[in-house]
Amino acid sequence: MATLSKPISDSARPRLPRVNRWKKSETWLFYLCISPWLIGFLIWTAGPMIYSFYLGLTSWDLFTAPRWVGLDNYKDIFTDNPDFWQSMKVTATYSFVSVPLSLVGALAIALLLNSKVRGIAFFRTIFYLPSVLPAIAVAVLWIWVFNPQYGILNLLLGLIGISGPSWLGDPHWALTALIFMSLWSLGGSMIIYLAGLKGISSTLYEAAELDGANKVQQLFRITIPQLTPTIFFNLILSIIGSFQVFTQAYAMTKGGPQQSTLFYMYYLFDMAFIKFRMGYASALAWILFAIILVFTLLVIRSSSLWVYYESETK
Amino acid sequence: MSHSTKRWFSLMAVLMLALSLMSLAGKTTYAQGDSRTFPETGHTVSGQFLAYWDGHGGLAQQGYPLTEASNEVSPVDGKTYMTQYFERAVFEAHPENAAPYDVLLSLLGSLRYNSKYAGGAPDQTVNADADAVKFPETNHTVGGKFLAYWNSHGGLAQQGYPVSEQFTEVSDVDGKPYTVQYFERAVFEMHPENAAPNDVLLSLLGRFAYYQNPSIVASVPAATIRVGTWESGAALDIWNTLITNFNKMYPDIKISFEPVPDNYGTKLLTQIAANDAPDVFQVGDGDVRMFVERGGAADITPYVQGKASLPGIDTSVYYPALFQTGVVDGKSAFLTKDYSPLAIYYNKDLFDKAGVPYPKDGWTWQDFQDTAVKLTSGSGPTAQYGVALPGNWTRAVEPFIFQNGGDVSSPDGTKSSGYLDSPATVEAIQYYTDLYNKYKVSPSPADVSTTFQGVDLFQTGKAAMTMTGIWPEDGYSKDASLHFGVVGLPQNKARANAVCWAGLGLYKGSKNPDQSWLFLRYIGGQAGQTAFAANGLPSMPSVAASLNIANDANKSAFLNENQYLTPLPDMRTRWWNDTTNKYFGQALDTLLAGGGNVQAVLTDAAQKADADYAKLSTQP
Amino acid sequence: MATQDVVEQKAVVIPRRGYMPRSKSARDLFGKIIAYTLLTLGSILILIPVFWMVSSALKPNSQIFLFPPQWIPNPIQWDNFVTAMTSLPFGTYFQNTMIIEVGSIVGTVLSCSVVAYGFARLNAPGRNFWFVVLLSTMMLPGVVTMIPVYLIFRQLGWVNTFLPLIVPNFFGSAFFIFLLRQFFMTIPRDFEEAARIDGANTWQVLTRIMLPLSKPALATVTIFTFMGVWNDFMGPLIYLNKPETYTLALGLNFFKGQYVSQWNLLMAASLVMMLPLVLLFFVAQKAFIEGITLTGVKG
Repeated sequence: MATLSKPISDSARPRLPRVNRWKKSETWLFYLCISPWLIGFLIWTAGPMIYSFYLGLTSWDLFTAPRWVGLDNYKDIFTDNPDFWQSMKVTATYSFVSVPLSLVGALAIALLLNSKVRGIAFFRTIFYLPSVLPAIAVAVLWIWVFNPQYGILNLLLGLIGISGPSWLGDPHWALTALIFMSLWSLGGSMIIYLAGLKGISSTLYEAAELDGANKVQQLFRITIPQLTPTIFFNLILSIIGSFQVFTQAYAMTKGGPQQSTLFYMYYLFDMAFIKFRMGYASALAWILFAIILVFTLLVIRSSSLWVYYESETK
Repeated sequence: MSHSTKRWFSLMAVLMLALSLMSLAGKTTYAQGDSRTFPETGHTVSGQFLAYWDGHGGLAQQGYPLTEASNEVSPVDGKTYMTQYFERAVFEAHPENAAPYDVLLSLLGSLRYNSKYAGGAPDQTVNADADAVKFPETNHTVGGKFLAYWNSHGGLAQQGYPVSEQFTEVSDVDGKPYTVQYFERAVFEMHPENAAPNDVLLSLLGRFAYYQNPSIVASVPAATIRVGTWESGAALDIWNTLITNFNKMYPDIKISFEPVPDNYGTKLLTQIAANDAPDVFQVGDGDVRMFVERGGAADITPYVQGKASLPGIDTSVYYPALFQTGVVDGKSAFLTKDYSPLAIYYNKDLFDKAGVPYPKDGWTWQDFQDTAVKLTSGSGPTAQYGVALPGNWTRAVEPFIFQNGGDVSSPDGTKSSGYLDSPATVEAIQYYTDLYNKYKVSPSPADVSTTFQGVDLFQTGKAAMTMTGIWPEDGYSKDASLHFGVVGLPQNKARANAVCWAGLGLYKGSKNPDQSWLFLRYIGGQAGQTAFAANGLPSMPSVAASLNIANDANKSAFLNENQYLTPLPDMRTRWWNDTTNKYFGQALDTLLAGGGNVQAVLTDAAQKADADYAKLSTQP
Repeated sequence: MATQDVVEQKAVVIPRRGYMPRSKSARDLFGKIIAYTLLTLGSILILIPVFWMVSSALKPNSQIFLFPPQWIPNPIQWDNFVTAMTSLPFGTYFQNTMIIEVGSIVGTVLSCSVVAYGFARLNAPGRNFWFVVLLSTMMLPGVVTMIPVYLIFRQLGWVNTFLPLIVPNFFGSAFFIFLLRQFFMTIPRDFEEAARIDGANTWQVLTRIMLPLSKPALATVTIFTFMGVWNDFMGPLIYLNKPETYTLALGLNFFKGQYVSQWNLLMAASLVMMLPLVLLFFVAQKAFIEGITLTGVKG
């Protein structure tokens, strides 16, 4: 913190020529800074991405050389494939329900865990527990929780007089069950919110309190606006993540019952490695890519309206 | 003409050429001294063995040498003798005897007959020719062309007494039926398609004996070969022991053992796509044809038949149905790792309590249904089910269809309509789904995947019977509180069963195929089959006999089902999983979820399967 | 936002309790009661399945599915943990995992903070384009790029080594770059420009201002990287062939036997695997508390 020991006030600071020189060199500095990523991108990511796009225009069974089929895969996907539409429906439903729920849920928990009470470190650890469990253990655990006759969930529902359904066995409930389960392990986004909350200057709250603002006002006037960059991050990441949900379907339901949890990624994986249609799977992947990209760009476009960056306020 | 037949004829051509050359060359052959190297197999015969070879029919009678002469322990008296393998005989030097008995031939015909037909060969016919000769020493008759051949080719000294009558045997070489007769030192095979003198041919007994001899060690360059399996847990101990023992024979072949505990298929396919797969790898029954047609698995037929100086495999030591599971379009691709037919386990205590007699082998659909109904009681947490049926597991439902004379697709796998929706199939599926929906003797698939997820319904006494393979048998036997028996599947119009099978193949891109073959042969042979029997059944009758499986009250029920195995429809087309199997499974889902007219659902499934087949198969 | 003088760090720490009115402390007490109630309720909801897991880990396998379920195992089978920990060479797996951990965390923190700084602070033509490209790398399912990536590593001769699992981390990961960028952007430019006037170069700005001010975010990156490596299954599965190079996550899957699942051992091993992560989190979350004092710097 040595550089901060003799701070100069912003308003009093004269515009020095060396700052201008610095601005000119900003372009190459930017590229210098991002060069690790850029190089890694060119070596490991760009090539495979382009290659997979090419594969989407071929028929490839992984054994023999890919064979060019042009847009046939895409044509087939859109015109003649009920499984695709089913998986789209399942995934979209999951995304539209779970993204807002997890966004709000994780924020609420983070706010709670940001309370300055004794033993909060302990509670934080508990709330984070589900996120550190190995996925395979979580899957087994939740299969037990959802057991219609002996599971904890229906046991609890029974206490309040509700006879719970056969969660994972009933096509009407399986997806709901998986969404419910996703809310159990919000630890990831919760922690990011928590870090975001810690980035909010406490002087803001102190000023607000002096102005007589109550907690609710502080939440909506200070916390949430200050947290928008974090919300922005979590929103984009949960959009990307929710469209790519895979583990639950793979480990718990295998897409069933009756395709009610046929997640897009599960369908894609099945095509690639079970049905040996990597070309088709690549086309599916690029469709998913386009969908996620559109949503992400929409969020980015809208962000200037609602995301508040401290560094851009001047 | 199949590959093997071609090979057979070319072998005969060489043989005849050699014979004529020998007769032309006459004594000059002898004059070359007491050692001769045969370029055909690269092995040398010398000394008394060469003299015996030349003096006893040479190539036609004895065949080419398969090995060099080496000291070997005789299975008869446990003593060590200088031994050399030829295609049709095994020579043993007995210096303790005076000539001409200083070279003796193994009684290969008798050995093979006894190992292959422990209870005598079926359907033997005594030759009724007027000139037929009955040998009182063995009580068997030789007549016709076989007698003529016997008389003109060394008779008793060379061929020995007959040990069987004539009968029909399917050749291991070309898979065709031939009339054969076993003698002590030879097996005569009638080839009416050939002109005399080639209408009677001898089996390659020496070769079979050589292939069967587990102590034969081929000399190959040092190499490291990679071995892939999906197995984990205790099964890995079996592998490690096998690898250790293999390395005692082949210390220069290093085995890099690569078990993949999960997502085996994903990893294997990635490696295949990158041309970097394990040299020897495990495969499931459903992927056999796919791996062959797409080119992941090498054609091991040449190795099986004995390539270069490497030992092959005597395929007659396997149960034909099991060996054939690894064969695609006449070419060998995989050897059996382990397998199991399906059977019904029944809980004796629950049967006793309900006063229901134990099921007996040969029982019928009606018996099965009645028994299951009697053993079904209660509901909710106290429910007891008559039987845990296999749900939408198509493999296990197919036997019902075959038992009723139905099928799921055409023999070439291209069409499902007319098969999957045929009256016989519909009737079978009606029976099967009625057990669920009408008689409610089995927990529904939804219950099994939720309420009973992870629960062994049979072991916990929730189901009085269960239909599955041999795998849980070991665990059940160790459970002192569980008293159970095993019985074959019930029958309707016929008996039928389906195999669950794991195979071992050789990667097509292997850089060390010879060394890989030696390992594959080892784990697919007697040693491996004995060890892997811990997880299933062995594919060799001799191993089943040595493990005394026939006398095991429970395991014998599985073994007995071998004879009713129907070739898997999975093998018919590489699109099986995308067409018939996919829609058949979905149809079962629909029907077992409680809905639908069986005929309508299956017709719909068959049409969808056909439409998808038409679409997929047009892609070259 | 009041952007007055940047004040001395210590000056900001206001002795809060000193001037709080009485009614406010009553409100605080009420708030605390609510907070504790909610925290306890939430903890119970979360711990019920975890308790079931612990209970299963202490049962004989045959008792896991007893009906009705038995919450307290009887007898308590501590042996399960011993069996789980000794049936596989977990020492080796742990060592392998830690090698990858250290490499990955160092690589990720170093590269991502530099790249994120570029995206957060430096204006250059093409920045927005590259930012969208960065995000887009997260959008294409890994399933379809797995094989080409494998081919690249095979070409480099890295298959069967830890390199494919470590080295890419030195080239940044989109997730963490994005995360750090978001945090850097919440830091007012004042400090930075002040430091620049003092003659600090970009590296110094990054290491002396941005990173110390982003401790909560860096803690998050570290925890996430550690967890990601710890639980990563697909990477080691594809790139490691020999059992002696396997990681803990791979080893865990050995419990899923081919025919019989040993649920009790699986649960015991899962709990053991989880423990270091819980401890790490418990320690690392202190960074969030430290974060308070650091943010006090801002004016």
